[in-house]
Amino acid sequence: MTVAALFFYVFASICVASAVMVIASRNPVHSVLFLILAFVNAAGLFVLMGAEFLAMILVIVYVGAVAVLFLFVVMMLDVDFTALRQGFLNYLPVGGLVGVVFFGELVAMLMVGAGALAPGAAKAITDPIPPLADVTNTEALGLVLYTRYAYYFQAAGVVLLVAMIGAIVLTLRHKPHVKRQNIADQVARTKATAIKIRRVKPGQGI
Amino acid sequence: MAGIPLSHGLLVAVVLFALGLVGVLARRNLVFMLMSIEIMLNAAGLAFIAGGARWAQPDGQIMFILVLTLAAAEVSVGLALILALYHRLETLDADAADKLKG
Amino acid sequence: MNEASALYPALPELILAGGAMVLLMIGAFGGERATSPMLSYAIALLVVAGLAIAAMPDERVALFNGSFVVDGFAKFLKILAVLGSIGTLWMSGDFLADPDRRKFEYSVLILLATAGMFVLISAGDLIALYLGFELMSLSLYVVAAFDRDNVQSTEAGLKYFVLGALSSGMLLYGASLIYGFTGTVKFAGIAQEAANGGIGLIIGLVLLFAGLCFKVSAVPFHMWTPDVYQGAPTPITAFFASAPKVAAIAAFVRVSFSAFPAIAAQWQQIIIFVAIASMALGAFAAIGQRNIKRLMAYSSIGHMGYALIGLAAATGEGVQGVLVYMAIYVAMTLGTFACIVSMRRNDKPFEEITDLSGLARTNPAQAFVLSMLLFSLAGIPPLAGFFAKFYVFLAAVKAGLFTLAVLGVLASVVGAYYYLLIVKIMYFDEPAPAFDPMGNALRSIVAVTGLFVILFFAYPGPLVEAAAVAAKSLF
Repeated sequence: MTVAALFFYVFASICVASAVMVIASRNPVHSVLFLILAFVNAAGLFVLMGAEFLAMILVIVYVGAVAVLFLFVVMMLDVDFTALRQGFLNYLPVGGLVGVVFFGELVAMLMVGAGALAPGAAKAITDPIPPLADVTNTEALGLVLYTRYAYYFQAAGVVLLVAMIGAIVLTLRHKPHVKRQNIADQVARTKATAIKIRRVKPGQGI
Repeated sequence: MAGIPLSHGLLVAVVLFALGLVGVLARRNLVFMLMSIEIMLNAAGLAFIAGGARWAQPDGQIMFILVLTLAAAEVSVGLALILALYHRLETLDADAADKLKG
Repeated sequence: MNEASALYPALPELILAGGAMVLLMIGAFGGERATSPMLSYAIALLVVAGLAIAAMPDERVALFNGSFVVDGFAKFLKILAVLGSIGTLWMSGDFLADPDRRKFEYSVLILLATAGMFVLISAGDLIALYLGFELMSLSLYVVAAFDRDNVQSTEAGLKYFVLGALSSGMLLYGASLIYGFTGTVKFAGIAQEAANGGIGLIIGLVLLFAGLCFKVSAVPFHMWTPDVYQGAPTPITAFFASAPKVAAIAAFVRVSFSAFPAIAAQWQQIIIFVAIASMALGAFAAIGQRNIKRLMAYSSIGHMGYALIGLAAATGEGVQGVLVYMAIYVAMTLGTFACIVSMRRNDKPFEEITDLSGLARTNPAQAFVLSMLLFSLAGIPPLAGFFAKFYVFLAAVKAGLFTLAVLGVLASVVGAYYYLLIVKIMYFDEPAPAFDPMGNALRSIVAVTGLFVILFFAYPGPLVEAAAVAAKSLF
């Protein structure tokens, strides 16, 4: 048992434990914080599996953007915390049963079938990819992402565009009484439309 | 380097995926459901990376980048939908959304 | 060959994605005024993309390391998907006319969803499959909730989203298991490894199929369908029922035949179960529905069951049956939904089946075409729907699946009951107040699909042969 293996199991168990807390905790804010903990530990697992670049991306994108987005929404929506627990207990038996059955089947498959089904299931997964002597992990990803996988890259870009349009369509509301700056109108203003010269006779007012 | 077998990597992924599934099925609060879905997607990403490591290809990691991108897209649409519903119903309880039953 | 011309097979996708971005710009600068011309631009783009597809050669071309495959199969289904999208946009004019819903993003999202379907239909590996699914589904979640001041619409979008995200999680996890055990995501590579794959691969396959079943709304992953169909605005329900189903069935067929031919015996069993369950549920659960959109939801679940019979046969004839079925299904669905969209009085939509009562007296022409469409959905000869079922049952019998074919016939007999009930209500019940007159767009859709359904028997050759050519390209 070396240090790497030890860390693997430590990260894995903390990751799983925080995932349990995510779905079990009463307070959504705690839940988001545990989600962050789960992701940070998953990032640790990634480093051990030779994916350093992704570990950093996971922390930056997930913790930095997605989890914070969750926090924003949770804080914006003013959720009533006491009422939230009720439903959980009602649905736990069904959900738990499905989860346990599913988990049991997959574990049985991995344990029983591992040797027979996948000759490489016992192969180590902690060697760096590609071998560090050739190129760094980031460089290796960069070499294929924009060449062999350019199609995926573009398609993912279009998916993000859809997400952007979708979020705007669903939530942007133009309130009629809000004053907005209209640059085109401002630029189009001329002396003729903007000011009016009145000749005022002295001592009489307008 | 010490060997952590693929099956252990996949085991972590299975546990996370099952937890996410339980979360989606058991929690009725939409924000929790969305977080559970995130856990499921993360589990799938972990399995991809473990697979990539087992076959010594960078492909598994590329898949993860895509999973991450798409998961982020999914979250933003999901949260937008949640906001739109909250705007109408003032609740996040999925059971309150019961206008459609037959 | 220079770089640009190498991309020629992806031209339809480029037209749609690029065109969608141009339309987005026009919309962003044109504002609300741009909404209705936008609809015509989008239709024009779809027509151009459809022509570009039709002009492609039939030979199999693979781009981007095999992630993107264009062959006869893809051509056939992409044209179907384009027709479904055109039909949807064509009937959306009235829906978008309402000042609260006058948003140009609608057309853009439908275009991008169609681009996602193209990616899905052409997918040559699991990742392209997943990307296509997400591109299609994300657009669909948003359009389902498009009428955001209507609680039902938002609710429909949210339900669709939660279950859809769950299913794409399953699909993705299945894909990751398959990758973990075979070391490749390419369908061709998986096909080589699948022969000596074990339980791990099968579990991956089951999860993948679970995700696919969700998208085609087959039992046991159908629960979202009635709610989403009922809650979403009607033109959008028509969209859900037509084009995305085509794309999802395409992905189903392509994955099964190009990635897992070695374990056909295993997936055949899954498909047989799913097909029987879907047909039975579609037949029995629809009885007693009062909302016509819910009824159409159960009807579509049943129809997906029949289409999957062709896949269960696991032969070239079976695939041909699926393709013919989908083509006729799209025509019937669009026609029926065009009639449902026209169920409006004083600009308010009505969705109860009883609202149709006595339609034969208030609008005999519409009542006649709608009853033909319903008879066709029920599979009564000599209408098109009969031939659709005939080809899949024939393929099942030839493949030795007699029980499946017999159950299919029984389910369609039960299913005929509720279609006939609607026809009875239209012809023999006391007339309800007349609906608003139909717009020209709706009238043209109803006329074209009605003619297709009625006259198909006279000239089935071209469609059936095109399907045969398309099916051959998979083997």
